[in-house]
Amino acid sequence: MLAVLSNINIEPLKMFFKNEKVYFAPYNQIRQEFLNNHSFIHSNDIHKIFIFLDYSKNLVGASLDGKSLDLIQQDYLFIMDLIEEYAKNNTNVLIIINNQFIENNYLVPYYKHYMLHFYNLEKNMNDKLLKLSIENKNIYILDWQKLVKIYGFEKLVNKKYWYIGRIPLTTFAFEIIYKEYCNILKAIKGITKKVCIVDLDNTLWGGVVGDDGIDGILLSEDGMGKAYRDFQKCIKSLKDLGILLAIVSKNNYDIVKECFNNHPMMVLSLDDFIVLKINWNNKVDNIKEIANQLNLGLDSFVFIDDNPFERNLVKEYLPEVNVPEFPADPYMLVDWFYYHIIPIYFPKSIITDEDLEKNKQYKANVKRSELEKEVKDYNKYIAELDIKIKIYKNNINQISRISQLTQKTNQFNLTTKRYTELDIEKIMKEQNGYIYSLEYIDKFGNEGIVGVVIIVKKDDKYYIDTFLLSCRVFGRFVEFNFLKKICIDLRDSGIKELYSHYIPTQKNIIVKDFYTNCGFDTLEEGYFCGKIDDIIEYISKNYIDINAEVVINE
Amino acid sequence: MNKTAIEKRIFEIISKIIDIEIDKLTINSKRQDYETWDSLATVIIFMRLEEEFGVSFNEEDLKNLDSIQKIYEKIINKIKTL
Repeated sequence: MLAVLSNINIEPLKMFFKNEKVYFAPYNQIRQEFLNNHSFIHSNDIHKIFIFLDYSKNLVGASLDGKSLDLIQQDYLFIMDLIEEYAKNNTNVLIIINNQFIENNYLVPYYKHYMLHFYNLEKNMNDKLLKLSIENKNIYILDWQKLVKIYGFEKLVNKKYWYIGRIPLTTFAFEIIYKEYCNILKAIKGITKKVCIVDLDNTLWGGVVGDDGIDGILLSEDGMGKAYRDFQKCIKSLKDLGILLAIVSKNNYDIVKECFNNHPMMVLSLDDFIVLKINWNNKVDNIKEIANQLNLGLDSFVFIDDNPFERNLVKEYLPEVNVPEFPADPYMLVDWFYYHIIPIYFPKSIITDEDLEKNKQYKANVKRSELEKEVKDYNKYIAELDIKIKIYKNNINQISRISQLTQKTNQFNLTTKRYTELDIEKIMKEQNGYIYSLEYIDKFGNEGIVGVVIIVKKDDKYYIDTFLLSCRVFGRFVEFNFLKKICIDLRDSGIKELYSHYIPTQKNIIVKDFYTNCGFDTLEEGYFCGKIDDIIEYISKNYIDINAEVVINE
Repeated sequence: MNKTAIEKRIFEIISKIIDIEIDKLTINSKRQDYETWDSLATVIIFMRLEEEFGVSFNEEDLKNLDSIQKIYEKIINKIKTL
């Protein structure tokens, strides 16, 4: 149960708590509530306390020497001490307190020392509160100063009803205090949206790139172009919160891609987005597809689009999706982002390591595996990944990477032999073997060198000494195509037969049948042999062919 | 804003504050008819009406305007003289 305490009449908040039981302490009974051990806030029913303090009434007639302001400060610090003691004894009770905005009731408006009294009062109060909230995990601040700055003093403060009913705030103020309170709770509980979907034209830049051309869109270092550029910075910063970004835009993909790659003022890159729906399909279908791909509920999405038609369509057909109004004036984009997007949809009270890693994780693997979920037919999925592999032979520039892979690859590693850079260099130079390395590229990006095969010649026989593949890429027929290409290369060198060996470890059980799955015959347990032609034929017959390029630089 | 729109807005505001469904209110509804229309609700209603219509009430108004009818007429008069 929530308890609300205040030194003003805070009861108008009641009308927002219709679904929650709330205890409103009597007007100005804060000290009593804390000091009396039998008061309501000391009962076990209380799990949250919201405290709103307003000292505007005490500021009237502040004396020139600042002594009356000192009294306010004393009262405030006394209450803070009570709160701190309570917070330490009741760590399971969440306490939310507003910070202070002190009105400048200057009797001598240009008297510097007098101004300093007011300034110090506000500063000392807020410093104390901040210190309290940092030192006590269960104390949070409702940023009343921020709300006054955003909405303006006159919209929030109503002196008339202070005199009539001890209510110095407007009903609008109570509404935004309530909303801010809810946002804080969301942040504490970690209830935040996961994906931000953005439109492109007139959202991330001014104008329509398809019509105005890359040079014609508004995105620059001054004027409205700067407003859009800053907004892009805002969107990009969402990634730091662990929010995933996606594009849903009716546009020509090639033009958009060129725009992202070549516009000198572009802040975001296509790589920042984990899903791109740049097509002419309707946005409702595109958003549904993204939800399926990411396996997230529609209520995890925020859809930002300047076009009211698109917004309404999404609101109507996908009511769970969060669709904020878009500012009519693009100059306001940054304020809108910080005041109306972040606290409402992405409120956080802490950033975890997991948040920081989330984008990276999704970036490569989740992206691929989510596509895998969507495309039920696995072969079609592989085809859609548009995989290309590049195979290098004895590439001296890759020695350190090859050594590194032998050192750290554990799962897809048939023999788990560890080699230093010197070892690798030796094999390459002494010509008693070949080292093949594999570069992997698909539509989501280039994974770099992720596979190594070492062939050694012993007594005129050729052995696969090492076969390894980073776990990031196996299971996509890459392993089979890699071996096939190597076999073709070996055949070209006149080699007819290939021997191989599997050394089991605790981690490489997944590859125990790899060689038999490639058409090798088992000689004895863990030892295999196959005719080169048979292996090539077996792999071609059983597995999808992947676009492969062989780069030989001996 | 025309008269019906004003009337509708007044109903909406009062209904929300005293937590009574809008259909259950009539132009003749009075403060004493509803337990939830207490003195706090009265203050909030007048605050809200001031913010909404840009008019001003005095403390006498708060005491005397005890039905939707009276509130409505007062607002219409005040808007006319604005």
